[in-house]
Amino acid sequence: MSRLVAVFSEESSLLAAVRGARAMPDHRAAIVDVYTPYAVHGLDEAMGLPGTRLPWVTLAGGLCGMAGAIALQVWCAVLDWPLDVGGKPHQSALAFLPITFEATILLGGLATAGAFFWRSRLSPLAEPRPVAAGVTDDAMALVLKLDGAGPDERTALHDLLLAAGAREVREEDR
Amino acid sequence: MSDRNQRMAAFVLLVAGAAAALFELRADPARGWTDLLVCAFLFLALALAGQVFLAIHYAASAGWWIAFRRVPEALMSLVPLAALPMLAIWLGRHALYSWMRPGALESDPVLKAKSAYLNEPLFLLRMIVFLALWSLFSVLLRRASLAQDVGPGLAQHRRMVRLSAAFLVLFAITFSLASFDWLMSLQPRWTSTMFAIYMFAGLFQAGIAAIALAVARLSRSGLAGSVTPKHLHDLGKLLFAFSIFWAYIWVCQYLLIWYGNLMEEIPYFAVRTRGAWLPLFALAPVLRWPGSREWCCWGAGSTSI
Repeated sequence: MSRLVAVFSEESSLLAAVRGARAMPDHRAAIVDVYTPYAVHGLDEAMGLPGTRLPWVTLAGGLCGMAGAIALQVWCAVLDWPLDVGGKPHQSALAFLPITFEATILLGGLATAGAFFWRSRLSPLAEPRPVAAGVTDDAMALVLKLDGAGPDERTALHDLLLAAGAREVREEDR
Repeated sequence: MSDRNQRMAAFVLLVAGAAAALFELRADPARGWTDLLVCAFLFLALALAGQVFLAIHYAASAGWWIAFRRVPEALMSLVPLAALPMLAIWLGRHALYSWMRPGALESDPVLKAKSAYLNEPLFLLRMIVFLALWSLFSVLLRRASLAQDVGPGLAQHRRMVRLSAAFLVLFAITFSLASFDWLMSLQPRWTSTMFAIYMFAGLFQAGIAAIALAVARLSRSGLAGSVTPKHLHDLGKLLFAFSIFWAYIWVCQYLLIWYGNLMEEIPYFAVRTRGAWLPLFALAPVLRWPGSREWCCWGAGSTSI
């Protein structure tokens, strides 16, 4: 896959380049991704990213935690070994609430973190492959897809990125 | 509605409320004083919530809320006025608080043991001190904020930070004691160590809801441009977080009393989970917890909080 990497030092230049690339008329300058060392406000809107689906993972994880905690407690204290606590009914749902609450939060949180790392291909063992030097420090990189772009379009894209304020533009194949 | 009409409507409602309260106090003093206590406490708590919101944000050097700073500030400015109906509760003390009736403290050994704290002169003294303290901080914070409009510079901001930090410490103590005095002592033999934080959770959640409603409405007129959907989202998240906090505290209080099933504690919930109280009791978590954000959206005529 052939792609174009543009490196920026300023947020405003990056945002201008992202908007410019999306506004290109004849060539669909598809944005592969943007790498920044910190969250840049307004970038999601400029890239036209759809809303995150991460909350659904949180919901699913939370529901699993809730169901698991209720099942465990009901099985332990009602079905397998009925517990008499202060003469209360064995099935006292209120007493199961704290553990259910904590398990819901725990599994919801773990599922969210896990899904985030999985989707963004992050793990402690992953080999770091920075798209450009400094993207974890003071540089921001915009990566565009070049497949199918003619020479004129490539020149136009180069000009656009440099005009927006890119300090470095290069093509690479990988 | 124009500004003038709104003021007029508010004034008409004020007069109608005062007339209704006076009529009820004449017709049925016991009912009337109870209703007045509920209303006085609710509005004082809402006003205080604005003050606490403002103080927390100043003490934490938060910046995100500056676009709608005047909204909690307006709530806060109500504190000295809202203190007046609360002060009037003193006149109805014998109708409200059974432990203040003649002979009540002497005849009950439990109440007698509490009488070093729970007695009429100290009750009045605490009431005056609390209301005066809160009003004083409300006036000082408001004055510093207005002075900031005229004279730029950091002097007033630093003053607000110091005032806010001092207020938060004093508020934590005074509001706890006030909730013991004014509400918990309605059932003088009953105690709950969760009660003060439970009242605070209710105060802050209701306050954030009120602020969110006002900001959502104003974002379409007066604050349009400076308040963005992000502000409304953040207010919504804050409201959601404190709804969870309220529910957490509510369950903490209920669970322990239900589990312990002790004679000193259980009457509070025994009364509230039976008969005419039950529907109201069941409604409270529905309105306050999962529903609070949705009610707020509905009230603001918007889906964006």
